[in-house]
This record gives sequence, C-alpha cells and structure tokens, in this order.
Amino acid sequence: MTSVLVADDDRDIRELVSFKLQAAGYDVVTASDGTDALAQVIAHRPDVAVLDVMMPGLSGTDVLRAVRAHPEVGGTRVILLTAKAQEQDVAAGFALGADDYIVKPFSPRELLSRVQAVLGRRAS
Amino acid sequence: MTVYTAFLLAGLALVALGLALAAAIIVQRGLRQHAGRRDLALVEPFRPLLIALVMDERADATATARILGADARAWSALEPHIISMVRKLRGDSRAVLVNLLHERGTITRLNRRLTRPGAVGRARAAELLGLLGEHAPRRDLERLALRDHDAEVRIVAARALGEIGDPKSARALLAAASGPRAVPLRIAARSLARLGPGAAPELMRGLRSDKTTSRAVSAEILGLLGVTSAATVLASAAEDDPELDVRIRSARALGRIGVPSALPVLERCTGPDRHPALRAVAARAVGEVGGPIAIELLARLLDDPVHRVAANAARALGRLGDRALPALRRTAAGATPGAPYAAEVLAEIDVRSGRVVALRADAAVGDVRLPVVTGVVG
Repeated sequence: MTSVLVADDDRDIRELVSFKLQAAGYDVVTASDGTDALAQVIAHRPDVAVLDVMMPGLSGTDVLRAVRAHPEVGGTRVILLTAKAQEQDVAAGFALGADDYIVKPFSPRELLSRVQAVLGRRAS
Repeated sequence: MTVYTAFLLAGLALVALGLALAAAIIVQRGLRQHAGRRDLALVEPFRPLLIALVMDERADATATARILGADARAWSALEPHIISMVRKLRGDSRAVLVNLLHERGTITRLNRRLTRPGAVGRARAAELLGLLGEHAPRRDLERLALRDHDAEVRIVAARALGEIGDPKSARALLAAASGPRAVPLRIAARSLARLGPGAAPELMRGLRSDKTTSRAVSAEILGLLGVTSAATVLASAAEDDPELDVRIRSARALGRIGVPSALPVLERCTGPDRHPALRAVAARAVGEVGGPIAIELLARLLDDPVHRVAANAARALGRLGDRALPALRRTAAGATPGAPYAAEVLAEIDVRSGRVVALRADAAVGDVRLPVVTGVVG
C-alpha cells in the first residue's frame, strides 16, 4: 500500500489530512515535530512526506534538506504544507527540492490531488 | 520607630507583596490550565465527528445533528475550536464548518455584538464575521467601517469586508478611505483589491469622485486588478486630473494594465512640461507596456536631465530583455548624458546573466585577506 507521512505540530491538521488520505486508501503515519518526522521518513520510507514548515525541533525545510542528503531516503517525494505564502518562500521550498508546495489555509481535496499527482509523476 | 525598623518593615511589606503577586500568577495559570483541560475534554467526543464531517466535504445529517445538539457548555468549548479549524481550511471543508456555526446561531450572535458598547467586542465580532464570510452581515460591517467612532473597529471592519470579498462593498470601502473617520489608505486599498474585478465598475465611478483619496485609491486598485476596460478613464486621469497624486497613480496603473493603446498618453506624461515625479513613474510604466515604440521612447529618455526619469528609463529598458540591448549599448557607447545610466544597467544585466564571475574568491596573501576580484568573461 502506498504510504504517506503527515508531519505537523497542529493536531487538527494532522488528523484532518490523515483522515482524507486514509479514506483515499493510503497508509498514513504521523509526526508532531521535525525530529520525529525525519525519524519516521528513515524508519518507514513513506512514498510521500507532507511536511509543515514551522514545526518544533527541526523545521520542515530542515527535514527536507536532511532527507535529500540521506543516501537511502533521498528520493522520497516531499510536499511542503505551510502558511508561508510569499513568492520567495515558495521558490525557496522548490529550490531545496520540494516536489510540491501547498499554502495554508488549504483545501483537503486539493491536497489529495497534489499527493496523487506527485505519486503519478514518480510512476511515470 | 527607628529608621532601621522602618526599613525592615518596608522590606517585609515588599517581600509579602511579591509573594502575593507570585501566588496570584500561579493560581491564575492553574485556573487557565484547568479551563483548557476542561474545554479539551468537552471537545474530545465531538472531534471524530467534526473531522469526518469536514473531510467528507458534505453535510452528513446525523453528524451535523449531533454536533449542533451539543449542550451550551460543550458548545462554548466547541465553537472556538470550530472557528480555529475554519482558519486552516479552504473550499467545501471550510463551508461545512461555517454552515455549522451559522445553524447554531454564532453568526447572529456576532452580528448582535457589532452594536455593543465595548470597542474590543465590536472589533472581535467584526474580525470573526469577516472570517466566516458568506453569512456575514455585509451592510452592518460597512456601517462599522464608515461610521464607528473607534478607529480600530473601523480598520477591522474594513479588513473584514476585504475578507468577505463581495464587490458590492467597493463603494463603502472607497468612502471609508476618506473623510474625518477615514481608515488608513493601505487598509482600504488592500480590502478593495481583494474584492476582485467585480469591483471595477464602482472603482471606475470612483475615478470621477470629487474626493481626491477616492480617485487615487480607485486608480491604484484598477491597476492592481489589471482592469483593461479602465484604460481609457485612467488615461484621462493620468493627463487631466487636478491632483498630482492621482495623475501618478493613474500612470502607474496604465503600466500595470499594460495595454499598448496607453503609450501615447504615457509618452505625453513623460514630457518635459510635466511634474518630474509623474515623468519618472510614466517612464517606468512605458517599460511595463513594452514593445518597439516603448523601447524607442525609453531610449530617448535616457538622456533626460532629470535623474529619476533617466534612471527609470534605463531600468525599464533593462527589464525589457534582449530587444532593448541595442538601444542600451548604443547609448552606453556614446557621450550623451544617458551613457552612464545605460552602462550601469548593462553591467547589472552582465552580473545577472553570469557573465561577471568571481575570479579569485577567498584569495589570501599571508595574513591579509583580499577582497573578491570580479571580472567579465565571454
């Protein structure tokens, strides 16, 4: 089963996104801070990681950087989910190697489509 | 009583006061934590229902009924929780939550608060009504933005109207930008910009207002929204408005809209008989419109005796890319007053395109660190 990591320090967001992805048939693991998120990526090797940017411990971009530098999980698809909506924030996210960037407030339906698109890109 | 005793008593009183304050803070924190835990416990049974309802993005009658049936105590904990979820979501999920609040009477209650005596309460209600958008009482918020005696409440109401985004609020927001109880221009302008192109007809009427602020804001927002149908009225304003500020904003708006038909007007705005500030803005706007005629006009402006005009013309040419390079190179190679402006922009283009590279980064001789030396390659 395709697996997705949802990392966000906001419990509402974690539960909302997890519910949506589970209902769509994905296996979901969650993390409430950056350090845990990185550990989960290495331990569970999810197909996609949905990372909040502003998390306690390691930030989402720190996690992304560490994932990209990791020899075994460097290819994990990463979607940044963040309230930072400035053009330079989005550009910085992509420059670090994010596969997609979603701005809060977000539409759960759109998030699901983006996860599917990111997975589709990898399949193709 | 000796001086020593007096000091001792004063010291003891201070220590007692400090202890009392510390105890009060600890008790208050404890009470707050207790209330937080109690609210969390009250919300907990409803969380799975709420999440399922929101993520299904449709109104499930049973779940809706159970949430709406929460007793007053549970609802008082649940309501802020639902509002905080509204802030995080867009689309149908958000609409489901807003409908819950509407059906439970939250919006009616907030609406009543708009007329309460306390300014903080009115501002808070206006802010939440802006967040809840579609069911908010637009006219009441407009009245607040225009007439509330408290400046903060007027600002919050103007912001809320922008959040709601109903173009019908354009007239009220334009009016709110001027007069003795005006909201700051940037607040009104930001809210007007959020109303979208639907506000264009009212903004075009605003360009003919007898209030300078209304005309200035209308011009600015029409440009930001890129309303091409406003080009003609903006052209008239850029040339003929009695206020310089309105002429400048109209010229800038014409550049943002970018229709080639605006070039003759913008060219006249750069004329030597016009105010230097208008000429400088018009030069930049010419560049935003672009095309061969714009390049020709900007190349002439490089030799303008007014620094801002020549500098803006040079930068505008720089932004036009390869097509403008011959004009810049021609001027840079000559001996006219525009040569330094053209040369500076060409150098910037070289840096951006990577033709200027660090030759000796991090160079060092003994203990003396040398600055990075740059040069042009290729």
